[in-house]
Amino acid sequence: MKKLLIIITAALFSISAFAIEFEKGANVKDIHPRMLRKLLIQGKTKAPDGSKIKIAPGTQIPSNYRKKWDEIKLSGGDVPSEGSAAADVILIKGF
Amino acid sequence: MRKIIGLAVVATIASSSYASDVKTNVYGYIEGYVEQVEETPQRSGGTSTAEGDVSKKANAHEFDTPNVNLMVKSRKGDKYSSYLNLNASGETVQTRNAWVEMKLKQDLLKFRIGKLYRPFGLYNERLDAVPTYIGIEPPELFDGDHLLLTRTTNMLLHGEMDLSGNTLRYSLTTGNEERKSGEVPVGGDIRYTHVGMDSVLLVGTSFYFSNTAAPTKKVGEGSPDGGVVNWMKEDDYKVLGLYLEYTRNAFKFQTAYYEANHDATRDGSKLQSIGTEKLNDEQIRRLCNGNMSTCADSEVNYMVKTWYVRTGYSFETSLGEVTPYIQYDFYENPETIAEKKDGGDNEAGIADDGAFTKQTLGVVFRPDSQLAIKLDASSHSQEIDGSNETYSEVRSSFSYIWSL
Repeated sequence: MKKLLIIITAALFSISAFAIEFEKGANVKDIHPRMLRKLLIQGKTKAPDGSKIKIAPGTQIPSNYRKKWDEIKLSGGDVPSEGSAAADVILIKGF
Repeated sequence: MRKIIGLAVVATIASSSYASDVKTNVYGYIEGYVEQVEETPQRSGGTSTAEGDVSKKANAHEFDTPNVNLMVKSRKGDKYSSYLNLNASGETVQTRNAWVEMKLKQDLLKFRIGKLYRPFGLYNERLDAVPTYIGIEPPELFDGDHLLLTRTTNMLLHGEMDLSGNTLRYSLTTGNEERKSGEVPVGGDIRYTHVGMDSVLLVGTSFYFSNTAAPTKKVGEGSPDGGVVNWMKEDDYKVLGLYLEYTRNAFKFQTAYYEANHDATRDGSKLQSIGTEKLNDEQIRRLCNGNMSTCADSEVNYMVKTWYVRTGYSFETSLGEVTPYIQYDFYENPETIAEKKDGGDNEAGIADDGAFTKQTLGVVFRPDSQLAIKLDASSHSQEIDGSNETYSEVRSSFSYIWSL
């Protein structure tokens, strides 16, 4: 029980190792990876400047993102879809 | 089921033949469910049962497919979208949602019309996302036996504001609901999502004003579609609630409190038709001053209260994600009876004071992101004939998300 509590506490206060790898199109304003992570965890399809957020084919989506996106989809909302690089696109290549 | 497959095929063909700025996704999920409720306490009605004399009623185990859903989301450019959510779990296909939406001012203001789940707390819009949330049963405010208000409405004005990556979402709704004639029921919800380094905090509030409303079901026709119970002539009720969800890495915590204030008029003749044998002494006293046969119309002010706490922690294992969870629900409704077909519910309705608590322990196992196998057990506690009675139930759900 004590061991379990230590594991839970450690996991709770650890910093996530996920780093977003992305490529931004020519017309996309600079965006901090942390800001992008904030948008992705909420399943946003657009950045504040209006550029689209797309996922490169074959990119592994972590389960916590996937779960949130499935929840949004099954509730009638939109989530980032697969796409390719373009001038107004932020292309996510890794989490 | 054949109907829903036909619709899926039509939707797929249609999606491929549209102009290039129309994008359509077809997906859905199926849920199988089994439940076994332990013998439930009950008392024979009328005024003759001695204090503490409570009998037990046996319950058969139940298999069900509560969700066989087809969902079609379509978008035309960036401005228009539509959503269709059909459920084929019964004999007929039910339209759970069918709406079209137009952006009036980007994401800041959007207009949606049709049949839609109202934004209201953490769960109303999420309840058809069974494979994704912890727990099997909805929180008590959205339990089909005793809804606080209707789950669906017809028109929604909503939007969201980006605040440095955090989000403020706001919405106003109206629709047919339970209105008696030309009244305008109004609902609303405001929520703020703050995303930290490893955490997401969501806080919000929701409200609803029914204005003068009438029952959606007659006595004998089953559970009401909203907050007006079957034996009322009319009811003007207000719902207000607060909710919070905190996620930190694999840890999730949810809580909410809601209350509904009713200002209603009972219909004496409807209450007389229910009869004494289905009610306990407390209910006869509350509803009809102790005598059902001379029951007359009466004014009543009462409050329904409910709150819950849900928490879970996800572990990644070699077999998949495992999430143990615990839940605690409280629900109190003094204006209810046990008989479901007369508009009551067999949880709060068997208690002297209309209150019960439910403690749940369970686990979700996700071998894959598309699959969720849930198993949980609950213990119900309530006061019957002055003594505390408890009974348990065990349920399991297996859901699978599919997409074309």
